[in-house]
Amino acid sequence: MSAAVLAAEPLWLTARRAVAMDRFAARGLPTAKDEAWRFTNLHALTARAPSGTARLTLSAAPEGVTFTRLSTLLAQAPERLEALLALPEGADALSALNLAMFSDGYVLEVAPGLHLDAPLEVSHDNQGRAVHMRALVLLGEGASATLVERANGSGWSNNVTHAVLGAGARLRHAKLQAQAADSVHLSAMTLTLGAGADHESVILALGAGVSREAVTTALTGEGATASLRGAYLLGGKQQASFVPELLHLARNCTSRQLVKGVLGGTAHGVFLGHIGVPEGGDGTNAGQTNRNILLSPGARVDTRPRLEILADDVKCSHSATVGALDETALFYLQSRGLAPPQARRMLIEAFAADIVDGADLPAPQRESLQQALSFWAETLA
Amino acid sequence: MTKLLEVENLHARIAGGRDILKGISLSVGAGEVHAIMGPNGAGKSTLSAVLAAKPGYDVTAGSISYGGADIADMAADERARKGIFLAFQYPVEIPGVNNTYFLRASVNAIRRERGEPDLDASQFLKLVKKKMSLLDIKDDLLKRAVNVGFSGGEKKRNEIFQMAMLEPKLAILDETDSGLDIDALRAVSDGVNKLRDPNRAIVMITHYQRLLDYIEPDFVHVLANGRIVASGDKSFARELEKTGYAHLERAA
Amino acid sequence: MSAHLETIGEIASGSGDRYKYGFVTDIESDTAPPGLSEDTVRFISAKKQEPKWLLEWRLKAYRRWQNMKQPDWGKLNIAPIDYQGATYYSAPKTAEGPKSLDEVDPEILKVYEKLGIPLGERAALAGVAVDAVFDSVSVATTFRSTLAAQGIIFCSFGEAVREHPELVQKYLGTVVPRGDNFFSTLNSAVFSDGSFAYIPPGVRCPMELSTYFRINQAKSGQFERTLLIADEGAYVSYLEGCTAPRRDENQLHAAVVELVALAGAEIKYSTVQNWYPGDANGAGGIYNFVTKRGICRGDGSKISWTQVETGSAITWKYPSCILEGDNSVGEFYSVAVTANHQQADTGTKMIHLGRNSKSTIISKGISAGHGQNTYRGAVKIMPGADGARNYTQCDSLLIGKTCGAHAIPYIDTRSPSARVEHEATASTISDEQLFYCLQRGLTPEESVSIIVNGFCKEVLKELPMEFAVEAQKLLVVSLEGSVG
Repeated sequence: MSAAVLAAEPLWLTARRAVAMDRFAARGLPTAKDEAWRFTNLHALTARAPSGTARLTLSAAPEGVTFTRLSTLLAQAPERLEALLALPEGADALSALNLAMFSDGYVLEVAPGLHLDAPLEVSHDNQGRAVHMRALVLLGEGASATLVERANGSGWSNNVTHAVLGAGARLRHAKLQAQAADSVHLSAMTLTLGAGADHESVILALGAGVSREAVTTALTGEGATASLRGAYLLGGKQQASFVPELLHLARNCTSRQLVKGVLGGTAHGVFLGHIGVPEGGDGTNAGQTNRNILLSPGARVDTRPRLEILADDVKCSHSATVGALDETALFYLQSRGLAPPQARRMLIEAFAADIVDGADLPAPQRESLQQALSFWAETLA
Repeated sequence: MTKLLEVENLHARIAGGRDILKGISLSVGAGEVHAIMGPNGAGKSTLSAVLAAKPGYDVTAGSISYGGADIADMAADERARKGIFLAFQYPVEIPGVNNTYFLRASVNAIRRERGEPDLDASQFLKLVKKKMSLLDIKDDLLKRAVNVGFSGGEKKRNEIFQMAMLEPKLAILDETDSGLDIDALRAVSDGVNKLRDPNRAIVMITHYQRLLDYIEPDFVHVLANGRIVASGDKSFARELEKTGYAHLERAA
Repeated sequence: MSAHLETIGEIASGSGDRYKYGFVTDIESDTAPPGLSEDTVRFISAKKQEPKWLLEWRLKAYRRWQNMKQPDWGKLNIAPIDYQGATYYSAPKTAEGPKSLDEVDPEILKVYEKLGIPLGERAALAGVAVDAVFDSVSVATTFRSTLAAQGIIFCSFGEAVREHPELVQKYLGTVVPRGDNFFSTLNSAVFSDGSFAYIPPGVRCPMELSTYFRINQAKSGQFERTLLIADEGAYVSYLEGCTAPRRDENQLHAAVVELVALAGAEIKYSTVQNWYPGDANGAGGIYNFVTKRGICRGDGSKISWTQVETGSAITWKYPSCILEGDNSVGEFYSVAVTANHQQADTGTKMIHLGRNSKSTIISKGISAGHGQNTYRGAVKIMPGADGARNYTQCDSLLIGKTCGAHAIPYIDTRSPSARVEHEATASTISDEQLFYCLQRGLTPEESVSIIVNGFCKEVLKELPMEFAVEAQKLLVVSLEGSVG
């Protein structure tokens, strides 16, 4: 089944799909015993949605840039993908399943030295299906680009994105996940940053019943910089996990993780952050922060910011907080005539806004994310 | 007769880098105050670091003699115990370590080197009180952790207070005037002036001529591109005030 | 002033009467044959003349333990432990240990000298005259009459079983259940002795209670069990110190400590742990796998753990608080040092059940040499723990390039009115800090010591004065040679 998703697929891919399927079969879906997946409830997946292809919309590619469907490139120039469509050592079961099953996705490739001012946009809608989308983002040395991603509709997403930034490259990535409440959205993004490369991702996990955003960043070149800004605003029975992992493999790299969550109903937010500084990561400067607000008695937060340091001359910090909306502030707003829901909304928005406000994005894209946050804040209030 | 500090043709670099000091010669006698002036990047901070044996710097040629002996192989702490004091441009914060406790450890380390007995707590406090009144230091400074949460001015004052307590033979003041407003500068300068002593040499390293209005040097040197390009006495300072030292720099 | 659990040393010198009547006749045979079976458990229970219920309790634990697996988790690299090769009961023999300081390994003496421990104490620590739980057995207490006048019971665990069975039976296993985890279950089966204290309602214990633990015999594990109960409105401060001689093989120390604080009671529990850490190459040393847990059972009760962990080849312990009472308070202050090849995986669990319960966690980890230091902690705010508060500060200091620091906090919050704050940092002793100290005339070792003690200050100030001084010196000794 898996091998024949695409007609006339190159042999190497067929073979890799088979290996990946075996890997998945051997491991099975992660369970609560699997630390990294402990809080992601995959029961919903047992009633499988029919697998299929998402409705994928890509903005036009400027000159010198490849921005195209993966299926198209696979048909036209499979040799360009042979080195890139592989299962990395240690990939988890769902990444393996993605390689075995993916039918489409996209490729963004920016030539060295090319600066793109206008953001590239991609949106996907699963249309009720189980979709394994695969994306490749390749920035040549000194290239820069902004990529804005939107996930809508319902169904099951199991997305894998690989990004490779050459020396001095700069990527700005924004993602708005607003899938329907009956959806499951699992996303694994892995980034490799060369010397002096600079990455920022802003991820808003607002929709889906169950969602998981794993972002693994390997800082492999000296002086690389990575930042993750994330927010989850959840109500009802929603459950969302952020799993950012920063690996400081080279000297003098800097990383920041800032993830905020607001939880109402019986929602469950999870932050499993990790900063790893193995030998050789001297001069690391890394920070990781997770802040949460619980709005209701049934809501729950699990947060585990984690540091592992085996290098010298390192400055790392992490912090996590969980609390309620500030009663005094609420009262203040009410005393100025605001109804409680309005006051709550204002405070929720204020709490989460800096995730987007501080993002390095063009104004229209930033505003569109701000609007989304504001809408979800109102729903929660 | 050899002077307290004799620097001969000194070449030095940050380990692994290129030479920053390219042949400095300098003699400083007891009781003298020398000002070393120069623009950013001239090598001023490297000179103070090398004189104090800061790890991470290599002397590649030349010599430093202190009190008549070559101190090339003398580690930082040993030099300090022999009476070389460096007032830091950026005094370092040491969280959790009480300022008084730190100072007492330091005072006693230096006393031991001189063959003097340790000061006990009450003797030490007496000394602290004496020096505090001399320098007009607030005693809450002493209760806090070393430099932690100090304002820029407080840090510099604390450095001068330490100098008063440790009674060095050679004090090197590294940009002690930088980042100070006029009141703080006056207070710090007053402190230094009170510590001028026939048995003490002071080398002050600075970017700004205004310091010389407050602490009058006996000698002035201009450091540029790793060398001393001009030297003179008090009157030279006044001359520099008129002409600036940019032309000397170009000559370097 | 403090009351020590007294032991063999004093007894051997003739001042303790238990020695004359209890042990002297069969002291040679008071070691169980190596190995672990139901018979070992029965042997221990019989030796200690225990009631049947306790034997049954031990046997249930043993049977359960047989079906448990040694945990294999965390960052620890543990050489296989031969549970059948160990001795589970060892009462000291008179021939054991050096008789005078002249016979003691001069290396150890040097360490004690550096610690500034007075000569008598040094002798004690070196195993000459011991006021400690020596291997498995402890005996009488000094100040017993002073304490008894206020109704305070402070005695060995074995004695408590004989003389206050109702208290032991009421509280034993109520905080750390018999089958809690692999090591505590083993302890439940074979524990040999330990300390017991009961402070009656409204009594403020007039002195610090303390115990020195010491493993002396080769190939013996130490499985002591401590149970402290502070009845309503009572207060007690308890100190525990640990040492062990140098041996090439690893020795197991699997203790269990249970604390019960009833309404308005407060227990302060301080530990300076300096078990033998192994040599510079990582050979030998104690495996310190300890389960410590307290329950704040009544409203307004408080339990405070302070630990300075400088010894042991491997330390695995998480002194925890179950905050059941409303307005109860849990505290954990910890310094853990790992130098050479030491490993430490330590932290705490704060489980908030009561309304407005509060917890504070201050953890300072120092890694040097090839040391691996992990903070692992959990803060759980359960539904109904309205208004609960936690503050956690967890800092790591790295000295050198070959050590590691890890921070793994778990925070699970299920109450919207709770507030949890966790902050952690990891940093190195900066070259600037070192140079600053050197420039003020301090030697490299003094400089490191002053910086490290500053780093640990928030924890050290929680220790009783004498302990704090000892702890500071221990920090310096254990990091000796780590810099340069």
